Amino acid sequence: MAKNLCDTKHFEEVFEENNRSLTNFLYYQFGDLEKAKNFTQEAFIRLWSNCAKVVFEKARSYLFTTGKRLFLDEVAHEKVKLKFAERQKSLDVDSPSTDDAVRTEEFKDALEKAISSLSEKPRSIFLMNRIEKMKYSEIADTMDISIKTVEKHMSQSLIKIREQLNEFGSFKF
Amino acid sequence: MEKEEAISLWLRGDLSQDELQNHVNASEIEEYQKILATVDNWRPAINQSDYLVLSDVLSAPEKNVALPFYRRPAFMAVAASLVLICSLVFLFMHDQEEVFYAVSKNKIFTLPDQSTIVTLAPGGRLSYSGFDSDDRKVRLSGRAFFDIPEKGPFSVEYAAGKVEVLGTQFEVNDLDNYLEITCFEGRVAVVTDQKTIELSRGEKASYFDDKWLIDGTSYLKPLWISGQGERFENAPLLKVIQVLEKRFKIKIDTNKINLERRFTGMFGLEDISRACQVVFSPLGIKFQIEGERIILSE
Repeated sequence: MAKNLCDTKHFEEVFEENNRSLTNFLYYQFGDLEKAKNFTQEAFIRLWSNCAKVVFEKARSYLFTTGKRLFLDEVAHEKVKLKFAERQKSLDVDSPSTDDAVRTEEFKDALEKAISSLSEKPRSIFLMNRIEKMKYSEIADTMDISIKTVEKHMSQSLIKIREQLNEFGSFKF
Repeated sequence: MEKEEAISLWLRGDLSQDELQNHVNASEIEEYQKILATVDNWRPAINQSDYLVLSDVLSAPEKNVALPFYRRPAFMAVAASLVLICSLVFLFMHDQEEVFYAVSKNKIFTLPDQSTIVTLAPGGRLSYSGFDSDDRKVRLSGRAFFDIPEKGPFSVEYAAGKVEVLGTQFEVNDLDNYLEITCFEGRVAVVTDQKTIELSRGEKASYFDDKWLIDGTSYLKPLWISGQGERFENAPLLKVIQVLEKRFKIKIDTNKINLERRFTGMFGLEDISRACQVVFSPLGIKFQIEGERIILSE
């Protein structure tokens, strides 16, 4: 039997599966947690209101497309400042020297800055692939672009990030 | 092969690191690897408690709030009859009316065609019933900005007429004594009792004082949708005052001044006296703020 989004149980399934990644996606786009949360909520509310008109299998693409368009219509003015944390602490047998720790911290700050300075589309594609571990085909589907475009943005982002870090002098040990 | 292409293939897993060295020098590759290794181990700095929970969606009050219309008697009478007619029709047609309100800030939402995005300004109301994706119709009172990526019929009905659209971005501003439609992208046909006015990108039609005026906008989008403030291009002073009243929730006493003027400029929303300064000083109008009233004089 086909799953029905108007059935709370099935809607909940979609919610649990997509809540984090949609919030993260919008965070990568806006660089602002409040906006990301607001528009995530808006996208899910839209999906819930239209539960009778969206096929269960298309829910994810509906959510991300709505989120993306909400972003495009909200004129972004603030400078984007993305912040990240380590997913898991690396298991160091010896704790790093303070020098190393400072350098690591500096590199992290510089990298956050470099990523924040990319434009939204390449930036969110890059982060969706590297952090959310989304495949190119999934990203292409979600953002309604071609795989070739995803590939292009991935390489261009990496190249730009490195250029920025060089300007910051982050690679000089 | 170009360097960028090589990096692209390498990222995709279709080029080994050895092969990459034919196009990119070793130290550069090391730098790329350092970047990737760091990012791969990241998650966004969002706490578990920051993410939404299901009840944030299911019990969001938006749609079930009954809100009062504006307090103007004429409007109320018209609105009442509209609502009455609507509900009779809907009883017959078993079509549910969907209504959206914006209260204190812009409300942004998508229509059932799953592509059109509407930004509704505070005080606005938009509704539709039995939305047909092949013949899209909505009803509006107040002000809204429409972003319609998909071609196909689309019309916005307001008190005195309607706007028909051909895949575009435009704003409809339907206040009591004033109507303004601005086309930012695409083409728009403004249909009234007497005639149809066609607008293309950058053109604006405004109806005021029983006359239609066509002029232009130099902007790509209205300022109000970003919540930063209000911008006017050759707008009648009465309209500017109405917007001031709405946005700052005050009453402006205009008995002693001449309203037959136009204003071009913009004000932000943080401070009412600054906004008054911006609007009235250039026109030589003095203003006095007394609690929730402002008295104008010349």
